[in-house]
This record gives sequence, structure tokens and C-alpha cells, in this order.
Amino acid sequence: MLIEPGYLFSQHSLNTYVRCQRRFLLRYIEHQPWPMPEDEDPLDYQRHLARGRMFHQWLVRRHWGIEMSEIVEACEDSLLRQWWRAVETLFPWDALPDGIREAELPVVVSLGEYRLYARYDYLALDPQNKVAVIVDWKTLASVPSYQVLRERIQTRVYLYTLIAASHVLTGGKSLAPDQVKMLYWFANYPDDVIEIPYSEAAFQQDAHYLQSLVREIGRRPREAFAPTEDSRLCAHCQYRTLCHREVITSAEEDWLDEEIDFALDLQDIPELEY
Amino acid sequence: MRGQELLSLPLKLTREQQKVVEWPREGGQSLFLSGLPGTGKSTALMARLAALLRVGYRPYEILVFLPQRAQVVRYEQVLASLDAPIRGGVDCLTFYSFAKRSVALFWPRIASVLGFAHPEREPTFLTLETAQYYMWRIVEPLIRAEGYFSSLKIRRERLLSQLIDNLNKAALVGFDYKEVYSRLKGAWTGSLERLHSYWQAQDCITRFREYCLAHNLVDFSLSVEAFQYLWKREDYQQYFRTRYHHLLVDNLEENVPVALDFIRWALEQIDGSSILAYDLAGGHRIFLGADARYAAEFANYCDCALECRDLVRPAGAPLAFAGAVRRALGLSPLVGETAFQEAVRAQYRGKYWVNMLDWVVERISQLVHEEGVSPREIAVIAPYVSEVLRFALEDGLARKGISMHLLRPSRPLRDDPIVRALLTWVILGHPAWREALEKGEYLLPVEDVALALQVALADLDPIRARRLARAAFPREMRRLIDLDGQESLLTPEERGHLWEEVGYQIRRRYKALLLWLEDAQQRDSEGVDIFLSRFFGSLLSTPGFGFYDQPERARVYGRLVESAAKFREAVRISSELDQDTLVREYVRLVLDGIASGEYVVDWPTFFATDAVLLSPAYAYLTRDLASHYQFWVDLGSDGWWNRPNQPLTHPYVLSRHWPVGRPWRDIEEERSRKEALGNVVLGLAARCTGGIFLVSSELGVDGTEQDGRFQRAIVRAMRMASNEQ
Ligand code: SF4
Repeated sequence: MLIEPGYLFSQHSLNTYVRCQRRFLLRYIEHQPWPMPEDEDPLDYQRHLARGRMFHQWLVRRHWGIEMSEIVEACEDSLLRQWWRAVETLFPWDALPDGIREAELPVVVSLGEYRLYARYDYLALDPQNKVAVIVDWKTLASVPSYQVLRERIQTRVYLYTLIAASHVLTGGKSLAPDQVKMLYWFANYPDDVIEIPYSEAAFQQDAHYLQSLVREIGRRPREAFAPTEDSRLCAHCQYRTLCHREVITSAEEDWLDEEIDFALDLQDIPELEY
Repeated sequence: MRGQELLSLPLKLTREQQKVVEWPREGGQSLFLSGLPGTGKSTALMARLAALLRVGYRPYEILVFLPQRAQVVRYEQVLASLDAPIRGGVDCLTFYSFAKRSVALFWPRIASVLGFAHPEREPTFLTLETAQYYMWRIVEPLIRAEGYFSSLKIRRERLLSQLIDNLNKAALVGFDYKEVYSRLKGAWTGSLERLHSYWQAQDCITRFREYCLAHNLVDFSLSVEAFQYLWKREDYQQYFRTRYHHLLVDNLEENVPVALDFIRWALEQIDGSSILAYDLAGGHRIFLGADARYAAEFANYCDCALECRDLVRPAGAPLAFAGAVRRALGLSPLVGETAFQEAVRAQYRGKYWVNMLDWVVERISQLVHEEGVSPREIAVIAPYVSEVLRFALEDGLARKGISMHLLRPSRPLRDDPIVRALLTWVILGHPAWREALEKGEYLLPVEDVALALQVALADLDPIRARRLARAAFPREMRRLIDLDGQESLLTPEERGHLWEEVGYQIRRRYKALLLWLEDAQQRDSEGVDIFLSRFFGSLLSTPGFGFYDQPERARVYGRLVESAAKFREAVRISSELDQDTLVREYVRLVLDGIASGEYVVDWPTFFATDAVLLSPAYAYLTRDLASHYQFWVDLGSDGWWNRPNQPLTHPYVLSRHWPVGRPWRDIEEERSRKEALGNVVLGLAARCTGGIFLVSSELGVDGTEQDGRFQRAIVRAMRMASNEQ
């Protein structure tokens, strides 16, 4: 069996699978390095990632009440400063449920014989009134439509895991799906907040969808992980020479968002172990 | 552990394990759990963790502290196999990851107190490689201009790692790094020259520390020192209390003193429960500063102590054997001495090393092919693993259709020919190098160019690569030339012969390489990682080139790119050097053997490998592996007895237990070696569930006679046993 029971799926890996099964295999199962740049300007791409990571780190500090003004003032990156000012002044902090607030919260729930992982940028939960909001900080260059976000695997995974883990998060009672929502906040467009509500029907649908998706992946033999038919997706994929893909036009959307999950950053692991 | 069966929890727990699972979950009670290896302590902790999750404790409020990341993987695998709705999200961390994460989070509050010159800017955390690089920049001018360390015969990378080790030891043991000199000097009983070297070492680490503080660089030692300061602050205490309610610590004895200080502090903060597991035969990481003696004191700091006495792994006979060897070494056996003969499955002592290896291969083959033993249940353990040993065993086993997995501390990146070849391309593709080459400041041997061509071009064997390199990289020009162009030194006839010999298909590809390099030279330098990525993507991974459809070779490529990217990140932010110089610095760093490569992509795959394991004893023990059969080879080698030659540092003197000013004499050296060997024997035996094969040769691999202390102790133990009978 290629995928062992207990395998940890995430929104990134599932999203990858849905778009290209072969990329899922290479990246998440075989951990195949194929060191070609995914972007024309790799330095710019790395800066984009670093800036996103820093922004998230600052928000974690804010959550723990660590004063950031000196660091923000001294920061030479004007875009990062601008994002910070926006989140400080324009984000509706007070409108969020109160009681439990967590930043960079990992949640791992059972999904059939496999596991599903999510890491919420920010969770605000009121255990008394049993309401919760997951906030996701987005540093994208444009704002996707409500429909795109609603259908996004990230939304489905996050809301599903929240309900599945809610009895543990609240310390007893589960949350009802219609009492939770997902809030996307865009650092470059701070006024364009997109809120996605949830419902029992959507939860059941997601449960069914996610479970059958991982079952399908789990049963698949190695050779069945097919390359995508939409060759435009290959334009920004590092494996394009491994897949012998000639790239003609590039897709609007790329894979960059996959990388921003900074918290699972394996580079944290030191080479020297004491 | 190796083998799938060890990764999930057993259905039935022992009495002690059950007690651990049922230990009160509220009220902050702490339990000290001790026992020999193989008595099920880790399993007890894992079962406890599983129980906490099953009844609905929040995973992120549980902190699991482990001495090394290989164990983190094991805990993760147990979580994966759980039958609970929540199956992860627990903070399973090593002390260093925890310290670093805390320091990064609280940076704005602590940076100025710690003396960083720019507390208002974010820090740069150094990897071992980048720390060595900065140390190198400090040490090199001192070696050149002031003759530092001239009395020591030591390779550069080892010099640097010992200097850094001194800083790290100071931080981990918890003394001021400015005391390194006085501590080493106080214990030294030899020549005056060494004292100079100690002083020079102190000078280098002091300069290094000052440089780090001035440039917001946080190396390992500074992270640890910063964390020591941090956890004593009230705001951190508050944070910790909010964040964590349960603490589990495995292999407490493998922790360094400062980590133990922290655990002691954490016991006071935790309001749920704490359980610490202590291995009575552990403390193998002494060279990394582990302090088993201090860890043993935790029996007094905890509310209750419990000893696991029953062996879960059937290692009774091997343990008895270890006890007998310990007695022969003049140590306390630590385990009951029952009959141990059945522990020794077979012995071999022949004259020649090669025959010894043949015997090992034969016996392994018998086990696998005749007795149906899975290769992953077999480990070959040597005091250290040389290239010759690796090659001989791998080759021998391959001929029997058995694969081998090597577990070895990281090796310098430059030892890999693919890496060397790629760096040659970096040299050839950068104008800064080109100048140095043309002026003769840097000499690039034609063999290196041949290797680069051989790696870059598909279907080019070493002989033809050499032929091509000699023509394409003429000594008088010191760069690659267009063989069909005007600068070619060949006559048309010679050119015809060349391509005929080398192959006409190579001609077109060689030209493509040249064009690509020319193009690259026009671009602004972007760093080694990006240069190599572009080279890979636009040429080397395409048809006709060396990495086309070569996923395995691409792993090495990926490792180099990853190392170069980390270097660029760490050095770019805090240095005044331009990109071209950084490229040159990185290439030198690797070629001088400083950059070593244990990379993320490498380590988890180990668990999936169905192969015989070859490992140095120390690595085997510290990764807490276990096997059914162990071959202890090269028993006559002094490697079992000697500790690594570290003229600039000292694991025992730079510990908490050694009083400053007390000389370290031969008698202490003798005792410490005996104890270390005694612990190795016990540790190995406890991790052997079937039988041990004792293997030695009269002559070592280099032809010298071998009669080491380990071999002698084994002979004595055997003799004592037969006399008693
Ligand atoms: S190159 Fe295209 S087909 Fe290949 S893995 Fe990437 S997206 Fe999939």
C-alpha cells in the first residue's frame, strides 16, 4: 500500500491531488526533490514567502500581547508595515467571539483510517454561546470571489475539522455547524473581508466528500497517480521536466499558495541535536 | 525503533504501564519512571499520551519533550495509529526546537536585555553550517596572520566544530562562555602549547559571540542562553502556564543540564500532570553534554517514583551478557547475572579483516535466506564506519541480494561527486570566479572539469569526459571554450577525432552548456541556489543531460540547493558582502568540507527501508534503535575504547560535575572510558531481542594488530563464566 493508515492529509495535499494527482504523489508521498524554480523570478517568490511568514509571526506575537511597535517601525519592508497597520486598525478584532482565542492552532482529526490536519491562523471561540470563527490571513495579490473561496478545499477542511474537533476545543460540548464560520482577511485589501458561513448540510457534504477523496487516494496504486490533463497547471510546477511537459500558456492560478504554511516548516529542525 | 510492529501500542500493557496511564490527570502531580532499556517506559508514555487524547484533553496543551527528532517521528507514528477522534496536534519537540521557538516569539521583549545591537530588528537564526561559516570568517585571518592553532594538527572543519562546541557546551551546561579557557586550563596536565591553543579558542569564541550580538545572529548557544533568561521572566511563565497543562519527557537521561533545569522549572508550572521516563543504562549523549547523573536526581523532584522491572523486549540473555562484560571491565553489572551464553549466537575471530567481513556477509545471508529473518531485524554495529567497511559490506550483501542501510553522522557535502561537479559548474558560470581562474588565483584541475562534464551530460563515461575536458578546458585559457569556434586550439582534423571519440551527440549538448553558461554570466548573480535551480530546470533535467529522468540523483542536487539557500538567507541579511562574494564564500565553504548535509529530505525514509542496518554504536544507541540480531564487528579495534580526539574541548571537564581547577588525569580518563564502554555494551544488549554475533580479526583493515580493550573484556567475561561453571 502506498499510503499507510494514519497518513496525514492537509488542505494543501488534498488541493494538490485534486489538481494533479502526479504532483501529489511526487510531492507528498515520494518527497521527490526536483530543484527547478516554480516561478520566473524565484527571488521575488522567496521574498513573498518570507514576508508572509513574518506577517504571521507578528500576528502570533500580537496574540500573546507582545509589543510590536518598535519592530514594525524599524522594518524596512513598507508593504509589511502597511499590512500590519491595516490588521491593527481595520480588522474587526472586537467583533470576534470571545472566550477562547488561539493563534496558529494545529488540529488533527480522524478521517476514516487516515488523518486530516489543519492549522488555523486564528481561532476565536465562545464556548458559552457556542459560536466560533476561523480567521485566515491572506497575503494574495488579488481577492478571489466568494464562490471560489466557498469551494476551496481549505475552507471545507478548516470548517469540517473545527466541527469534528469542537468538543475538544470547547472542553465538552460540540459546536453546531451553523454556529461557525470562516473569515478570510486580505492584507492587501483590508476592507474586502469574506465570511463563509457553515451549515449541517455543508458539514455532511464535506464529510462525505473528504472521506471519499482520501479513500480514493488511499486505494490508488502508484501508477494510477495520473498527470493533470490541464497542462496549463504545469507552467508553474517544478516537476515539469520530470513529467516531460512542454509548457505553452500558463494558468492564472499557480501553486504558490501551497507553500505559505510556514508553521509546518521542517527547516525548524536543527541539524545539531543536543 | 525499527519495524512496523514497534510503532503502534501493544494491546496489553504491563502493570507499571497501566499505572502510568492511570496517573492522576489533574492537580499537577509528577511521576518519575525509571527502568532499564526494554522495560517499556516509552510505551508507557505513549499509552499515557493516547489515553489523554482519547478522553478529550486538548492536544496542544500537552508538551512532549524528546532528546532528538528521530523520537519525534516515533511519537508521531503512534499518534497516527491511534483509535481516537483527535490524532495529533501535540507539541512533540526537542529542547532546542522549543527554546528556539520561544526565543523567536518573545524576541521583542528580550533582545535588548541580551545585548543585541539591533533589538528592533528581527534576528537571523543560524544553522550549524552558517555558524561554522561565521566562525570561519573570524578564525581564518587569525590563523593566517597570527598563527593561531599552529601547534594542532587538525582539519579545518573539526577545528571549527570544536570551537562552536565549546560555546554550545557553555550554554547547555549553564556557565559563562568566557570561562571556557579557565576550565580547560584548570584540568590540563600536559604541555604548555596546548594552553596557548585553549587561549586562542577562547579568543575566537569571544569574537564570534561579539559578532553575533552586533549582527543579530542567533546561533545555537545564544538561543539556549536567551531561553534560559526567558523562562525566568514572569511573562513567559504566564505564557507557559496558559499554553501547557501536561508534560511528558522521554529519555530524561539524554538531556543536557540546562534542558533539565528547564524541565525542573516546568514541573512547577504544570497544573495537570507530568511524567518523566529515565533510562538506567542511558546517558550515551555525553559528547553532546547529556547529564544522566543530574537526571537521576529527578527521582527526588517528582512526587512519586516508579521502576519498571519486567523486560518487555525479550533481551534477558543479551543483558546478562552485558552484565558479565561490565563485570570484566571492573564495573557494576547493573543487571542480574544469569546464564548468558545463549545471548551469543556465534563468534568469529580470524586473521584478516576481509575474511571477517566475508563471514559477516555469509551469516547474514544465512539468516535472511535460510532462516527467513527480515533484513530490517539485523544490525551490524561497529565502533565507527569507514568508507571501506561501508563499501565491503554493501557490496557483499548486494551480491547476496540483500540491501543495506547506512546510519552515519552527516558527512561533508563535498564527499559527494555530484556536489563537487555542480560546484565546478558554479565556478565556471560566475564572472567573479572566471576572473580568479583567468588570473590563476584559483586553480581548477582538469579532473574537476571532467567530473562536471560527466555529471552534466548523459551517457558520457569518465574516459570520454576526461578527453573532452582536456580539449575544452585548455590549461593556458582556464575556462571552457567553444571547441568549434575561433578560440579552439584544435585543428579541424583533431576536432573531428575528438567528436568521433567523444560522440557527435555530445557535441550539440556541450554547445548548449556553453551557451547557457554565457547567458548566466550576463545575469546579475542571484546566489548559488538559484543559479543551480535554473541550470537544472532549463538544461540538466532535459533530454540528453545528466539529470533527465534521474529522480535519485536529483535528491543530491536538491540537498545542495537547500544548503545553498539556507546559507544565502542567513548570510545575506546580516552581511555587507555582495552577492558575487557570497557565491564564492559558499563554494569555498563546501569545498573545504565545512558544510555537511543531514537534510530534511533524508531522514524519515529510513523507517520504510527493508535493509540490514550498518551503524556506528553511538548513532545506534542515541537513535534508540532495536534489532533482533546484532553483529558487533571489529571488536579488537581501539575505536570501541577511545573517544574522539577533541584537542580543543572536553566533554567531562566542561560539565557541571567537574570542579574548575581540578586536573583531569589518566586515572579519570581510564574510568570515564570504562564507564562509557560499559554503558555502550549495556545499551546495545538492551536493544537486542535475539542474539549477538561477536566478530573480530587479528589484523585491522590497515594491517595493524588489533587487541583492543573491548575484545579483552569479552574474552575475560567468557573465561570467568566458564570458570564459574
Ligand atoms: S508538471 Fe504538470 S503533470 Fe507534472 S506534476 Fe506538475 S502539474 Fe502535474
